Amino acid sequence: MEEIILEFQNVKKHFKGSQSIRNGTAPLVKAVDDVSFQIRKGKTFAVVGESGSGKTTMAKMIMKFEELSEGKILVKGTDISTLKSQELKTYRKNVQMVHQDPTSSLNPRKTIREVIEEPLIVHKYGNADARLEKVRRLIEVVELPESYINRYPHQLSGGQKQRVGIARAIALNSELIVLDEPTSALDVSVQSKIIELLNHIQQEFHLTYFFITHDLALVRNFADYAIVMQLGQLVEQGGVKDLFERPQNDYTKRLLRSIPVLSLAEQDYLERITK
Amino acid sequence: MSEKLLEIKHLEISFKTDEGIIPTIKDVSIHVNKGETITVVGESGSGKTVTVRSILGLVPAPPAIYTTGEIMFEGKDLLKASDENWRTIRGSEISMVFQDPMTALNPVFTIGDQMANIYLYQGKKSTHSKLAKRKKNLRKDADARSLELLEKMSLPNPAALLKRYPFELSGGMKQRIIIAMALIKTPKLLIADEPGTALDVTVQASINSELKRLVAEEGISMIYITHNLSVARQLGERTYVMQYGRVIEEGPTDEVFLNPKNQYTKDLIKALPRII
Amino acid sequence: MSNADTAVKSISNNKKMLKRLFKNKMTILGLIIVLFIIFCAVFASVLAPYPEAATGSIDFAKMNLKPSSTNWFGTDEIGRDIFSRVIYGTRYSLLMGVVVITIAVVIGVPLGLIAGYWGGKVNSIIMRVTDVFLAVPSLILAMAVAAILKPNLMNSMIAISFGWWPWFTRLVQAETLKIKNEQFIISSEGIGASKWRIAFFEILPNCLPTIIVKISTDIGFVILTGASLGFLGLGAQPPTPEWGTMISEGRNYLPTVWWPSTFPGLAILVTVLGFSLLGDGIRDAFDVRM
Repeated sequence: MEEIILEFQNVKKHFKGSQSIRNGTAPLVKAVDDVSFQIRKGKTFAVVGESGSGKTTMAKMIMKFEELSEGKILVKGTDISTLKSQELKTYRKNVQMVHQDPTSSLNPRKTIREVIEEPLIVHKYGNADARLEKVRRLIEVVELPESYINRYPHQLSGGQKQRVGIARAIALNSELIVLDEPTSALDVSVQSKIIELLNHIQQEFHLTYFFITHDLALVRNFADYAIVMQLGQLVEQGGVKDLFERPQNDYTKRLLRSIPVLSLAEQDYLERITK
Repeated sequence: MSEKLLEIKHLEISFKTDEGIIPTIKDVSIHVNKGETITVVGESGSGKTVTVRSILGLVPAPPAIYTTGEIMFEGKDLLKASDENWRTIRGSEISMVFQDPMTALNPVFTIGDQMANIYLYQGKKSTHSKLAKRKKNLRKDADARSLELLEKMSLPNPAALLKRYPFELSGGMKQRIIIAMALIKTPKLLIADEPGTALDVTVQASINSELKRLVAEEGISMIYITHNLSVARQLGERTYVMQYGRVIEEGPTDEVFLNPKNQYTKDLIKALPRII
Repeated sequence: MSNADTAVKSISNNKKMLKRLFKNKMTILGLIIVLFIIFCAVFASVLAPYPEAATGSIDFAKMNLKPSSTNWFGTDEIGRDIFSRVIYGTRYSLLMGVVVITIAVVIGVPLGLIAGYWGGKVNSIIMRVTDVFLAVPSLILAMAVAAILKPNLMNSMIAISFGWWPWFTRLVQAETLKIKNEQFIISSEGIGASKWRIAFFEILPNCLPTIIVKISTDIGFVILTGASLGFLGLGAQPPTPEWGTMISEGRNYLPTVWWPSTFPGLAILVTVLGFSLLGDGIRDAFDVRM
């Protein structure tokens, strides 16, 4: 059995709601309400939910953009709330993120080379030559022509920009990659290619994916394991096959029923399993 | 039933940009029959939005250059319509629902005010209709129509909703209200440009089914734009597929999906992730 | 398969911007004026027909002569050729503009970046100090500082800088606030980049367009302020041919002997106009693309 890369133990995140003039107390918003799960190395773990489900908050906590209110998050067995400056930097080396919107996640005033190089510079990877070599290799891995390293983001299409985002995320040989709806801002024809690329590099570099999405059809084809989040609570979890053959929770069934499908066969199938 | 309501004939539009004149819409012909719903499917850059916006004259002529083509609506060419004509057409004969519900409503007016404004002033040749201002009971009529439509869009407690401001409402509610607003004047043609893509899947699904039901009930023709093939399959009787400013495939929806002839259409269908 | 993965734009943004810059006739006029001023400053010793006029020659025989073919702008009260002095004046004005703006940028921009990005107490302290400097009208402030220090060109430049850096701080702080919530900044934070690195290498380049526009429009107004100080006797002292000082010297002879004050005044007008037009043009050229 592979090691456990990421573990959530009874994780809770509360936000203070806005104060209303009439009541003195501010209501608590339970963004993440007692969530526990484990992810093993090399697997793709999908978090499915709509807006307000808490999936984005969970990603932020893993990336340490937000602190937990209660519970523990363990990465490779270490409680991430105990990490201090140097350890924190090492942590950031090992956990990287691919963002939803490829356009806004790249600095418009940097060349592609500078974008991919940044993590290498921050974590002091070799000298300028070594970095350039690494950037070249990464560009190749994400299937973009080498000449692109001197271009600016606005000169690339959405799909190409996302490939750059992926190159940047794997630059430091991180083990855990958080993917925040990486294809939802892209055209359908491009989506499948990006997913192919993600599959390919996962196998090559033995990566573990924490994959946030609202697209269940994508989950079916891409993920090994999935959890369904509703208003901060984990309402169902299981292997993807099980989820699609025997969904238990009503909300899961509702999500399944709203997948727009192309063929009548798929439509019948969904109706059958969500009865 | 096969009488054409709107027909775009050989439309060609170019845009003047810093890089020169770029042909964007190339020889596009699309028509909608009375009482019919058609879908226009395409990815970003396919030209679907520019095409339908030109129906309502929303593509300003510089920087756009309308080289050739006509858009025939009830015997008149919309491309040659005057500003005056447009005031009677927009909102009352042809209505449009836009993509983003978050910014489509004016934040400083209540829902009731905004909907009443459409009932009272939309379609009038002059924007200052003194008659409407003097008669206060016309507002009552307007509110009655607003309530009727809000109920049809399955919105809870419509009477209270009229007094709300947009910021108090969720995205799904706003999108439903926008659709209701587009239907106040019972237009002959409704153009829906990817409504609800910014919203959750469950919300989208219910909005789409309500929309379908409503236009069927009121006998309204609809042009529904989407990049999602499966949605197109569920909504339209005929489908047009656009790529790079051209219509590359068209026909009855089932035909297009079961027997695609163009390679791009085939690729699009293949790219959709399957459930089983 | 449709190649939706192919590159979209090929012309770089910078080329597009230059094209737009040169389309505007007013901008070209401004550019010509600015280049001309710079040209005069560099080649003053060659262009001025009476170079000694700039260094304090005295010739009472040629006192207050009307503009003529020998003295295009006439002579002043001690017989110096005004045209030569105006030409030499370009040096002092340009020096003023460049030095003051440089000081203002070097102090103001980093303060604005730090205030905007670090936020919290740091932001409060920096912005309140900035507010204090902004509360005093810049000319009054410059006068006060110049009065404390000995009145000369160098000190007048320092005095003006006192009142100028806060504007840059405000501008950059506002831009930083906008930019720091952008996704690419957050992703850099996720990579583990230090705050200093992000502030100066990620945020600052994105502020550059606004800063450049401000620099180009401000140079003209710095020159105007500098001339005002000179006029008040708080700047360059006679016999230095600084335009403001020259206007002051010729004041007593108005309106009959109008040329010693008028021509330096016109020079200021044209210079400020030139920089303003150029600055406006640069702003318009940036605007369209952002």
